Amino acid sequence: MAALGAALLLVAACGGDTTFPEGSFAVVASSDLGTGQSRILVGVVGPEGERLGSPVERVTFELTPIQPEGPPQRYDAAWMWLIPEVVGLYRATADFPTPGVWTVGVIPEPGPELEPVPFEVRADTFAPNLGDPAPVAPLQTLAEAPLESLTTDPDPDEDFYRLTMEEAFTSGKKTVVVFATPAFCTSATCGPALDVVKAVKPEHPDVNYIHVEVYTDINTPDFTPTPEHLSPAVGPQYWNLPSEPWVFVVDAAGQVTARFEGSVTPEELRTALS
Amino acid sequence: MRRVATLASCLFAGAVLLFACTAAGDPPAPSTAGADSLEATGVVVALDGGLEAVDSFTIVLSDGSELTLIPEPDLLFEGGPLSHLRDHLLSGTPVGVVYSIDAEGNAIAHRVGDE
Repeated sequence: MAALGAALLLVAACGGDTTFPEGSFAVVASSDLGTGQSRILVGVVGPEGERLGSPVERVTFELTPIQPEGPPQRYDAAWMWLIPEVVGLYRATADFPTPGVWTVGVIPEPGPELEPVPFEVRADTFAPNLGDPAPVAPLQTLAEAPLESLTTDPDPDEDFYRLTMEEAFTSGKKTVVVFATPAFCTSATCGPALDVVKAVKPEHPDVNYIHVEVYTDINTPDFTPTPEHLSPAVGPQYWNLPSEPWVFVVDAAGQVTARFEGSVTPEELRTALS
Repeated sequence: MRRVATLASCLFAGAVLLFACTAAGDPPAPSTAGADSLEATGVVVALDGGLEAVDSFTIVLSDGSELTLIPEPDLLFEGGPLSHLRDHLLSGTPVGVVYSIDAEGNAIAHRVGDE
């Protein structure tokens, strides 16, 4: 009896009935989901706006098309840190068979499902989708310009600025393309995107690497990051990015085989390059 | 007669002056927050826009209420692009805003930055 009581006390102390407090809700952090396979990022926000979640607080995503209607799908979500040990998101790679309006319900273990939140799945994504040919945007390289005019990375790897997209995509090798502006983005998400790629690079010396600064003329006096200074590479004629940073993997045939909006983990990138 | 004329001239000049001051219309709206500005801190939970422009964004305040803001023209995020708000949506790190309420009841953001 004493052992049973102790066990019950342990259960009561350890979790109770719910993972997240009442009033918590989900936030879809992805902005460019398309039909087929897409990685969806979802944050959990507490009643006072605090970010919740951790690797040990497991959740399942229930994804349901509502316009047009369709059957729900469930996916176990993985946790990814954006600021290690401080804040992160849940992610899952889901298959979206139809475009339209979907909802994601976050089901914690244990606990009641959070209120489903809507998001859009597009038939045609803004940025290149999996299987699309990688746009060949014109880029300056070290052959034409000094390093400091090509990047705001305070610790640049020159290998990221040696090849044009034309050269990289016709080389017969895979290419990792990173769109990021380290100087204007010192928060946890956009700076680390380039750092993650740089960290994985030594494991894949047979891959091309390109970093594209989102803004041009970065070293001109009185530069401000306004739309007229956006690089043509991120514009509608080429990669058509709705946000930054982005990391893409392009195969030896010049097709997009992986796309990561906002943040990428080393593990995700390794899997994409394997 | 001269006094009346002088007085009339003064009154007329005063009227002209008064008319000149009011005929210019209402003073232009300030491009930055004025005396009626409000401040808030919250977590970004929604963003309408992209690299080229942000049309609106929503933050959740510490009391759980939501505030949707429309950025004033050419608003930057502490000198950087306003699209940086998406990074805050991803990370959940709070932002501070200075805003005012316009005649239509919209919250217009005049300053946005890290909190």
